[in-house]
Amino acid sequence: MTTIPTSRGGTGEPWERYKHQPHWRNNADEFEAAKLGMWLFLATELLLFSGFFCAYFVLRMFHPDSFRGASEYYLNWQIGAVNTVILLISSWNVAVAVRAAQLGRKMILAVNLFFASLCGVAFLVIKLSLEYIPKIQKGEVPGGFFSYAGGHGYEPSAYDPVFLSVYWVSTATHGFHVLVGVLLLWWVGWRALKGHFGPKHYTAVENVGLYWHIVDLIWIFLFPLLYLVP
Amino acid sequence: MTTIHADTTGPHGHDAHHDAPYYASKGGLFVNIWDWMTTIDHKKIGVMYLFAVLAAFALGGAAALLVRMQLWAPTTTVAGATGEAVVTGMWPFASNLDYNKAFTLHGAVMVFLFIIPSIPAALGNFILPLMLGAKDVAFPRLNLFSWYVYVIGSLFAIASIILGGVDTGWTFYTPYSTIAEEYGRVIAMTLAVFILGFSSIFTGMNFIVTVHKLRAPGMGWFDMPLFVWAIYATSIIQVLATPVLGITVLLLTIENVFKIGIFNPAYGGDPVLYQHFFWFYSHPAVYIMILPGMGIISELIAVHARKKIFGYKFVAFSSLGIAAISFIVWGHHMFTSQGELASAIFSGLTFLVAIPSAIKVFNWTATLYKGSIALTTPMAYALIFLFLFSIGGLTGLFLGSLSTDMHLHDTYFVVAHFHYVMMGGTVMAFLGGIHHWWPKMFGKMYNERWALVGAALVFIGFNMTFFTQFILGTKGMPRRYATYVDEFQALHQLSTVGSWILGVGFLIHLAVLATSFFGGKTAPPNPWGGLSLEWETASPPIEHNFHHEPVVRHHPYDFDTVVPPQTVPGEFPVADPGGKGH
Amino acid sequence: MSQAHAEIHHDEHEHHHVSSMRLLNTILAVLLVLTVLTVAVSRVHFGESLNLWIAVGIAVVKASLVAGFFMHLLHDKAMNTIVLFFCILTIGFFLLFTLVDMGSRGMVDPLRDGDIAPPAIAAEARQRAIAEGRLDPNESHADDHATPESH
Repeated sequence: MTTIPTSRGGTGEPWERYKHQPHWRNNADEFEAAKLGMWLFLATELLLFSGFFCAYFVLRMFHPDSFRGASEYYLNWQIGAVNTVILLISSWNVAVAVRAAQLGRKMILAVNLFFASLCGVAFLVIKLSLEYIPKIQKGEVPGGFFSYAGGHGYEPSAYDPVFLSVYWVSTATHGFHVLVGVLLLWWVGWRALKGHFGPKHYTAVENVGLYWHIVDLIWIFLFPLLYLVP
Repeated sequence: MTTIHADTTGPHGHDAHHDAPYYASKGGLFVNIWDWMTTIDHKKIGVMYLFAVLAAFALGGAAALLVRMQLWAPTTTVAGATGEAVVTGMWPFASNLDYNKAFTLHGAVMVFLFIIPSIPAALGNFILPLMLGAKDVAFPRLNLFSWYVYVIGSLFAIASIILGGVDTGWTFYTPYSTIAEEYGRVIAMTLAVFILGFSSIFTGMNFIVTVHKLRAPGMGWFDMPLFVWAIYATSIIQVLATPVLGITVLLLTIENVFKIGIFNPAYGGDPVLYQHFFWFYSHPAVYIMILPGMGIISELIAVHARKKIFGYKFVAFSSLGIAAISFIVWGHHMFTSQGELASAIFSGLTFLVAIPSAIKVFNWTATLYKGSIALTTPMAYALIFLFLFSIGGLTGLFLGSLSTDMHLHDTYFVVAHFHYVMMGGTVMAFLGGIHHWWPKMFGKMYNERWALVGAALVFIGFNMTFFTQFILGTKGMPRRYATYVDEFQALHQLSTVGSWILGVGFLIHLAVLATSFFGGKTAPPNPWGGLSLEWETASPPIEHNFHHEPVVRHHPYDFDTVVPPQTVPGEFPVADPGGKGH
Repeated sequence: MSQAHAEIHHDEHEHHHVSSMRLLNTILAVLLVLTVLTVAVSRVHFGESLNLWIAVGIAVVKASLVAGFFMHLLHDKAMNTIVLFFCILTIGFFLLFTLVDMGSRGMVDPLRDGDIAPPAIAAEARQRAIAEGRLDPNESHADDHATPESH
């Protein structure tokens, strides 16, 4: 519960010389406005994903048995759990990074941002190599292209392609957001190394951090709903 | 209380170019084109939006005129040489399919390319920061980006049309949109809607933050002009509803490309789920269309009747009320397709919309009472709005009641109802707003007499076109058909003639505004005696809007106590100049 | 005039709240524990809907922790929380009314409870595999599904 000193002074880094855009009255107004804008954008992200959740709940209500069997058979909850942990840790990194920016600790800031982006890459690698690619090879793809014939005593039900539709579109859209987040983390990490962020100016760290948290937050809901249907 | 800080003092120690209008030439032709294409000035972006949406309006209007031409006479089906059914009398369309494509084009272009961006993105972009006394919107680069996103989205829509068009109706209902023979066109059109949604979201985000963070010193929430309140409420809907449209058309696109099964029953999906998704956005979208119009009407009535708006807070909060209620009534578009429990709930909730809408209409009427009404073109359009919107709103009650809607569903009654609200409401307000702010935007006055002639023709033509459709609808004429039974021909022909009169009215407006643009009289800074901040700067505004940051010292509707800024003394008499009566 | 300007340019030096490391670490630990909990609870069968409610409930708690502390809504301008609140309210309306409708078909009028024929994709894929000899209809062997969980 510390408050930062208003100026650390002396280092001459770019963040100390930051001047707001001309239509703002001061840096603080600009920062708060950027953050409010970011929250509005995050609201639109949540609403976008709410479409998947709505489709999920409605279709699960219609076909509960198919959803239970399909979730258990096609998805491996261990993979989902590992990815959940990876995203939670990366969220912690980003929170630490924002704190480092507020305190003017450049290296801690940059290291945490890069580590978070590595977590994002790990998430995507796991997703692709252990889920998407094997699934495509076996024909466990959504809707009309579904061609998995069953095996190990499992006979796909008529609505397995529907479950896989929801799974694919929601996780792929989420994966796209992770990819965008990784690129953004690289961008702010690179700028952090150049000394763009410090106690008086860290708008981009704050907003990219918020975006990364929302990506994590959406996965927190996707994981139990898709992987852990009892 | 009565002294106003008018921004007439001119620049102090600034260069001369600070005094130049925002659109002053920066150099040669290419320099100017580059300057406009890369501008982050909200005024220029507003003008760019204005031209873009007017082009969309022309395209959609042309399609509407063609549709009305087809309905001049019913077609007949006769047996051909080999006994096959041959449809004769198709004109100007070659087939029913072409007719379907034309009304889809009309609907999609008018909704997504014209009405939704019309008032907020064109007039709102130009006027809202001026009204708040701000130098620009909160995120100027995002603002320019949203214009480019709009253009890219429009290009996708046009590509879809050039490739052959879409015949699904503007609602893209599944399974029409998933069993279409030409997936490519449906994909292009739904992608266009997806992209246009982003443009709308960016505009809404920008305005919300602008209203929160960039109000002039001294301007509290209840000192904002009602146009700003309306745009604010609109922006809330844009931000909260448009993402659901995004996911809807994205899923539809993915469904067509990858054959996933969420909406398509052939793959295990549910087509009614699509309707819920679609109307969850598209009903609030109706208020994205009408709320900015209501905001304009509040300005027009108060300024041109020189009367303090009656019930300011009620008008302001009713905008937010409409925004809130808009999210819980979407099911009234689905009375014939959803379950009866949901229908009953949605029908009951729908009637809530009438309350804030009626509050507005009553307050506007009360504002007019004993006002000094000047029958300018903006005021004429405000009166037309009151008349047409009341008819549109009241017929909405018929459609909101479950039992009547069962009979009127998908008839011309519905078509007439939403044209009375969308066109009789929003487009009339848009035209009134354009004439009201035209002197401010371009620094030129227009010919009042000819503009009033145009308004009269639009009013007559509109009612001829669409009142007949109420009658047709109650008689059972279904929408979206290229033909009809012979008994309906007289009413259809009346409607078609009305559409021509309407077209002539719009052309007169276009001529009046073009004449004004190229050779009109120079406009004074405050031709109507308005009190909101946009009238405190020059006409047209300087590049940075104001020489000094304006400070708000009075309410925007204190016409009885405040001398309007930048007007000739006595030009706009003040009832109580000393303010002693208050 | 000068007074007004003095009011405008008041606070250049905004005091931002800085979270302590101990708080951030604690939140991460709680989030990881809740992840374990949500997996554990899903292994116990409380019944279809109760399991779903528990899973969603734990997710809501986790999401609140992320939003409240990592995204520091608790120490931020109230407006950002209001934005999130109305976003969630909107999602609530969307899910609630859609589910009410989709879950109440045919309650009054059985005619409205029409069934959509199940899609034939899965069955056709199976028949194709059997016809091509890739699958034994009685017991499968040709499949390479490596981890048939819970089978």
